[in-house]
Amino acid sequence: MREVAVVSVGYTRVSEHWEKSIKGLFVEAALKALENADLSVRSLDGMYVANVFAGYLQGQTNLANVLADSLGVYDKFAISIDAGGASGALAIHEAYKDVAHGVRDVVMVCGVEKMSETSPQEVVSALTSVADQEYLRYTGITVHSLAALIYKTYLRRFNKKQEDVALMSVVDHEHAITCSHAQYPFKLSVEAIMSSAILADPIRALEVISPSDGSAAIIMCPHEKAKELGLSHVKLVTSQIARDKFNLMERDDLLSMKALIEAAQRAYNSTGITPSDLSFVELYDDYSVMGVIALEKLGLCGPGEGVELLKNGEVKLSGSIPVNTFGGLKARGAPLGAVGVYQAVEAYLQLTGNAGPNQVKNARIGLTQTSCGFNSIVVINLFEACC
Amino acid sequence: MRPDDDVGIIGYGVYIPIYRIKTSEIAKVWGKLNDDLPVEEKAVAGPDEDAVTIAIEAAKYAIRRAGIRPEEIGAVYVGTESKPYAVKPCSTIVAEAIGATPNVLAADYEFACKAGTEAFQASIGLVASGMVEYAMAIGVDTAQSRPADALEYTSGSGGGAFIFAKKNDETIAYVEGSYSFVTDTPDFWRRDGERYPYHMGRFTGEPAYFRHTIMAAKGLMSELGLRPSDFSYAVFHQPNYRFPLKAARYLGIPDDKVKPSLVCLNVGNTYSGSSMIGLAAVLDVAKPGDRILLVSYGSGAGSDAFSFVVQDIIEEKRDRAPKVSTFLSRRREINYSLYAKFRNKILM
Amino acid sequence: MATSAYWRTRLQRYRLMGNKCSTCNKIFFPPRLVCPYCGSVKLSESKLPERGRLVDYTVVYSAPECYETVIPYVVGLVELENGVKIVAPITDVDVNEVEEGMEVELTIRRLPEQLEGGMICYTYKFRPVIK
Repeated sequence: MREVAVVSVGYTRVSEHWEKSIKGLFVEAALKALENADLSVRSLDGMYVANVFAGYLQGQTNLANVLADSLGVYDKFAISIDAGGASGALAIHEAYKDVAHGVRDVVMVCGVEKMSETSPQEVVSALTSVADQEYLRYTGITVHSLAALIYKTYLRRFNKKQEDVALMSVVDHEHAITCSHAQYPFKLSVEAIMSSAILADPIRALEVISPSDGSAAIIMCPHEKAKELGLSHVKLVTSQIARDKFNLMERDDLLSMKALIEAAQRAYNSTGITPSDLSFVELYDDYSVMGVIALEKLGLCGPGEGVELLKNGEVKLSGSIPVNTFGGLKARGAPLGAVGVYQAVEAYLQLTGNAGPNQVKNARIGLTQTSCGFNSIVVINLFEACC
Repeated sequence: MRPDDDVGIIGYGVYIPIYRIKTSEIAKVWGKLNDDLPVEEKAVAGPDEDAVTIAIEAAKYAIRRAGIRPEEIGAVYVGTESKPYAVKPCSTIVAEAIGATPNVLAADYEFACKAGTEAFQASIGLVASGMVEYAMAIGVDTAQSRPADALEYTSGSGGGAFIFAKKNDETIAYVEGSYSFVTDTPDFWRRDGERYPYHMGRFTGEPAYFRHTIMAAKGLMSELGLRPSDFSYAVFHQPNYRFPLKAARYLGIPDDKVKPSLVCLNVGNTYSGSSMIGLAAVLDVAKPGDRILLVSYGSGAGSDAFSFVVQDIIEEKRDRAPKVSTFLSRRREINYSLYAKFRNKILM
Repeated sequence: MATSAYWRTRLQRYRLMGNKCSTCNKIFFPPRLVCPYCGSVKLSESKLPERGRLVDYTVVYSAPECYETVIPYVVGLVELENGVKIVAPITDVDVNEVEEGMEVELTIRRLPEQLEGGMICYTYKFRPVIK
């Protein structure tokens, strides 16, 4: 097995890109990534496209083919990965396997999503479409209502206040202020969150992702090649996937999040890296409570202690375990299929010292956690600074 | 009419939606004085209810009282004038939901407010002939009414289901006989595709409701050799509080034999559900040996009159499912704007 | 929703028909094709009980498609008499009067209109028990 490196990144701002189609977003990120690596389109041996809603919202199937074509690439491998919110990281996982096992050399992973040009109701239905459609469709049971059940259980079990869990979003926004690609680069207070509209009691609108458009690309190749090309790079040390039952009612407990624990354990065990070795963590906080739970399940603190980590400031850029260093899903934004790739981009920026005002000092090892369906699929990618 | 073999009710159930609107609230909107309101309040079907959902609820309670397995039911007949589908039976949905399919007869009946008792007649005939062992007749409506029209004060939602079988130890009340009086009398109608019905004001009284009700009752009593005093209870179709009592007076039946069946003050006119709920309210309190007169009325027009004799097992069976009084006390008041929203009266 | 898709699932919608693994006895709702616990395909029809307890609930304000005129409404987690848990809309309750621990029972109700003049979808919900 070869060691795998990420040699370059390219990305758009997360925003409502009225002027750009999915193709436009994809091409922009892809070309930037290629340019930053001083590589031509011809040097790609293949590409993985991560996307969830092109079929549902844009009516576009056969996406990888369509996008590769828009880049002018007719003759190379192109495939689409759909695993809900975990798509981006899963696409990276697949590319990692290709490169590690010598199947391909230079592979681009690009996540792209366009969620802005539809009604709020359709977005809710789209987000819910990751759950079983045979029985849930049109019943009014939304992804927000399921998240609310998890949220309420968490607050009750650990005797926490919603205001404290909502700090997850406050921290996200603080980090986004200096992030040039963030959707919402401004401060957000707990008061503002608690007075925003209720989605499904108790969840407030401002502690949940908003629909966005965006595209993020990374280029991966064997470590040896990265050195040859003289490119500034990071190593993707391991990529671990775990799955759990997506029907919450079949899980033994709403908060067990077995897949998250399993993926993290395998990532730590296979590399010898421990939570205390991590320089920063990019969490999948589609809801504030999911971010808090992730802090605990990743081993950064004990059960029910996630809120303390948020309160004591250790999660800030200057703290002992910076979290969501560019704003996370809430403030940097969450074009759903692209999230995992944005997280990888941010890990790359941190570990190559290119994070600008968001730079974590002495960043050596970074972890990204990307999930779908309340951790029914979890991908943990561990990146290490190199050379 | 008397079937060759004795037939009776072995189970019954009702369902009334939880929402109520006071007629004074309706009056406020349309500037009508409060002195002249035909009922106090009426039951309103919720936004997720319709004739089918109400029929299913009533049917399940009937099965509970009957103590039979749903697969044993040989016919499911739903009588209504608020069919969610103009073409496609309600009864197949009900039959599937209760587990009576696929070996079952199913059909929808329409005869304005007497569709339910039409289903009674068919069920009695089917069971008496031995073609099926159990037949269920359901009368249910979520009646429509034009805003500001007089009917808006009474058009309510609700229904009842009755299961018939040959007379045996399980019989709650057996049918002594029935008599139907039908003419073509256009007192009230709703054209295909129209949202709201038309009614012919005072013409719906003497030549319609009273004529058919009285003639059917008299015809029944004559055929069975019964007098008004032979009945412990009398259940009439309840379009409002006054009509049933006036019909009773015409027949020489005292008010207190009618009052136990009167639910319209709090439920309104449930159209095809009216006779059903009225009969159920009486079965909830009747004693073994009581004779019950039931005379339905459907515009168009006609009345079905029945004589039921209550059996011993009523005392045990009536407690197996919620009684009419429970549904009457289960209420949540809404205002006119919610009412208009629930009943799809707002132009979207 | 496609007519045939709705029709295929009618027993689940109308009668809460799940299934049970003949090998390890676990009960599933919605029904499964393969037992995730022991891998068996020997699964037989098993109707769920119609009564249960409301273990938890939320009030939904952010509507999905077709629900714009229906909000707010309650979505609940019901534990049925046999221990099986199910997420379902809770109806006939005021959003301010729902309580954890409420006894609830099955009711078949109508879903909001998806297409004017289109097929009407009925499905399971739960409402407070009527005694």
